[in-house]
Amino acid sequence: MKNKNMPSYIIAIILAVIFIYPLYILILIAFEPISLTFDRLYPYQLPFIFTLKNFEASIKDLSLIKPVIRSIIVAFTVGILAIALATPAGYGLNKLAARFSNKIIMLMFVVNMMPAIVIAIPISVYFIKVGLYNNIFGIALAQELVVLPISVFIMLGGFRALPQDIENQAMVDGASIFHSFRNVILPLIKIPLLISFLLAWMTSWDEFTYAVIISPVNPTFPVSLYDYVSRGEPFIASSFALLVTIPVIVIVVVLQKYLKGEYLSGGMKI
Amino acid sequence: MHRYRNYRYMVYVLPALAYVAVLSFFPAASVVFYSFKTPRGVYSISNYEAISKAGLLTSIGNTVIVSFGALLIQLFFAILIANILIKSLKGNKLFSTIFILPYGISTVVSAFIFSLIFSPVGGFANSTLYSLGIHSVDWYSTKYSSMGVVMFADFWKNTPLVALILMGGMSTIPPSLNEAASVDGAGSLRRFIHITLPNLAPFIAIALLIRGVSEFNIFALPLILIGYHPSLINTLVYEYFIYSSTTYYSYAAASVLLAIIVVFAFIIIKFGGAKQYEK
Amino acid sequence: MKYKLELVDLEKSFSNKKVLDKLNLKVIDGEFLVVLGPSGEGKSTLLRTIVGIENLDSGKIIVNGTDVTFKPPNKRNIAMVFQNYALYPNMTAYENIAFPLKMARTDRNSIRSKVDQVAKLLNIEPQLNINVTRLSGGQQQRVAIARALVRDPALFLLDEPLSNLDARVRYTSRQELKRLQKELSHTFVYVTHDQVEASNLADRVAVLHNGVIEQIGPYNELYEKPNTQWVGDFIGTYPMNFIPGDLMGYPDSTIGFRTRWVSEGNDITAKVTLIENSEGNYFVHCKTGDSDIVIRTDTKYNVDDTISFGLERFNIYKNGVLEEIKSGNSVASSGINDVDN
Ligand SMILES: Nc1ncnc2c1ncn2[C@@H]1O[C@H](COP(=O)(O)OP(=O)(O)O)[C@@H](O)[C@H]1O
Ligand SMILES: [Mg+2]
Repeated sequence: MKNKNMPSYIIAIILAVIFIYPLYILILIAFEPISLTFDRLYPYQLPFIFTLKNFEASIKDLSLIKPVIRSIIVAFTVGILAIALATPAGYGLNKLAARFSNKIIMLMFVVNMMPAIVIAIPISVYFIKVGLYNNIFGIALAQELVVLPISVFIMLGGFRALPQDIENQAMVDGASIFHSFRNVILPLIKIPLLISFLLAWMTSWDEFTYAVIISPVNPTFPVSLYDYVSRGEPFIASSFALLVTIPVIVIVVVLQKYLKGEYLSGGMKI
Repeated sequence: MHRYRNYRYMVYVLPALAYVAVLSFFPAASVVFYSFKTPRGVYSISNYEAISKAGLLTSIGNTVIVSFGALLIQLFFAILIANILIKSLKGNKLFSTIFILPYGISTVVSAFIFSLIFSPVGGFANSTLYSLGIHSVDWYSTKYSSMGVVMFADFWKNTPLVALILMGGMSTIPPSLNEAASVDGAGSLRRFIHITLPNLAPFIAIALLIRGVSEFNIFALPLILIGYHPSLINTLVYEYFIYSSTTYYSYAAASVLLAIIVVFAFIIIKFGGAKQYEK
Repeated sequence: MKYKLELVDLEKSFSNKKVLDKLNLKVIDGEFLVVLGPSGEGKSTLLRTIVGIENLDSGKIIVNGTDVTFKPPNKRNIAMVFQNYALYPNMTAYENIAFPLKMARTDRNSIRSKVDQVAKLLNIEPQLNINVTRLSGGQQQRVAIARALVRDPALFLLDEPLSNLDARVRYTSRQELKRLQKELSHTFVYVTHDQVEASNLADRVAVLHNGVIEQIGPYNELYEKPNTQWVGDFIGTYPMNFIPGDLMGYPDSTIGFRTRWVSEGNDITAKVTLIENSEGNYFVHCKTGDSDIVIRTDTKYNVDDTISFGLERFNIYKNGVLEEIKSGNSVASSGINDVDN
């Protein structure tokens, strides 16, 4: 038994090292004095000295706090907008014939394949005219394009999983449309809603192309991180990079069990 | 239960559909339209001629190499990972958590970390080589090694997603199939080729489609890791957009990218998607 | 007579399939009416149009003398139990039952007492605080019925509420449902494809066929005097036997008789093809001319025997419709039916 699984273990461990190493480096440079990392031709790879100086320095540097706040606002806007649009869409698609709703989902995904840069450039020209250029809501509106198809897909899966006739039963029991949604449907689609929101949130947090083209002057965090790197000052950004990464990693680990399972394939019934 | 056409419910779908369609189609159409316009207001293919002379073909070549290279690496390792995680090994929970971590690290942060690792001066990769007594390497010395760095970073960031999709696929294969085959004396490799792979095909197609399209759109990683040289189509479009006096060059380059993606998606949907519907 | 529900010329089509075709039906106050029909005949559609979740093409629905055709479901004063119970999975049994009362803005204390009362009636008091997804099928079904009963509406619609239960529970539930309905003197419209349920539960059975009520009456009446050959064929464990009228001297018509309407005699000669033994009786399948028939005997015949028998009573059908009932002098078989569990 042991011998049989040996190769699997060896491969798994090698891959695990490869997957962890970059993260380890990120943590290392955040807590090691610069003199041991950035300032050396051959930086040390083992933790010798622990310091919070880097953190203090980067927190003091207000130039990075603003982009992070922008990123948070944008991500929440994208997440809320995703839910606001995808929930009715999932509800409606669920009522349509599967043949028909599958085509619509397909269409959304195909449209979604349009390269971001192809859309971002003309949109930015238009946004200049309407005052959304260099504006965080401009970024959010554009990033919504990236997340909407998957959100609709997940919500459709959620509605498909509802017990048959549950909505009709609520109406027969005297519930108005509002009450039927509020008291019966909503509690049952909580998880798909949460997943849609978090995925949208994460996607926006990560998004670079729309952000850099639509709002170069008021950048989100990824864009300003890029600015630091391209200016050759990565050390200022390094502890911030770790700081903003941790919550997202937590989300991913929490979401793990939903990411693979029925929810991503929920809308895939034919 | 059967579901029937009831067009009334389109009302609920329309906002989302219109949002995606309007905000994608009109900009894309205007890009293609204006790519034929010159600053003097006449329509011709001169923009395309200009960017071809400036090395468009090389960018296309580079993009194709990076895209397919990264795609193949991801697919290979994702299958490997899915195969390991699907077995109920001890410590599997830990491994699957580790393998999903990069998914939670934003692309720009990943690019940032890899730029530190592969930095020619003061990089961690060279530091490792040094401690093993090996000479330092300039990871960006040739075009291909530069693209290799991009592919590696991309592999690290995106393999988890592919593995997730494939794991989803593997869990749909009834265990009885594998059990029956092993009773019939099929070894693990033959079981993989004859049972796992054919059943996984539609999921591989989905992964190829999702990742493939993103590969052609790869932007932040190369921009941060290698800048504009060697150039990929996306960085080329951006370079034109930022540095050229007219947006029309970037429109032309963007149109080329659009065309390539349409062709790629068409091929995958045509061949992978058809299989999917047969099932 | 007072009608709880009157359906007038209901019409309903899906795309181009006509499901209800000028259907008329009147339900008497306090009766247990069973709508019986094969699957796919439109029984569920009928209930869904009555309660208002499916729109009518034309026709009128009158509940308690009030025209509700254009009212939404929550204004029709009708309770319905769906085939799959449609319990709210995020709620306990108590919350499920209390839901309609809450929607009607009943005050908390009377909700409590009404739910307790109906829970007692249905023997689900111990389960009240359990999430409904953790209840057994039989308990879920009781909760669904309790949720309907707690409201005291004009009319109850039940869509095959027992079909998801296993045989034993189904039997006890059936008895209980009947008892409840009589005790509370509610009006039930109960839909099923199961004849046993229909015969055990119904005051009257309405047979749904081709979008109309083809015949309505007590089960025995449908069994003995089916108005059409279709009803004769559909009702009963064994379909009614049909043979050409010429055999008995009635040209241009068809003779219909039940398995046990046979007697000594030689009206009909037939060849035995199969014997079934069921609780002391033999059901003999045989062939006369081109017709396959089944008769019940006490004698054990053998396959390939040629037998002859008489008919103590029979119905005469012309063009599929009942024309005349012929009964010999010793009609003793009324009240008998061969439906068994
Ligand atoms: N929403 C619908 N759209 C189209 N056809 C339907 C719909 N609901 C039911 N039908 C069709 O109407 C017929 C009657 O269905 P139903 O009322 O469910 O029958 P029953 O309950 O007697 O089994 C069936 O042929 C069914 O396919
Ligand atoms: Mg039905």
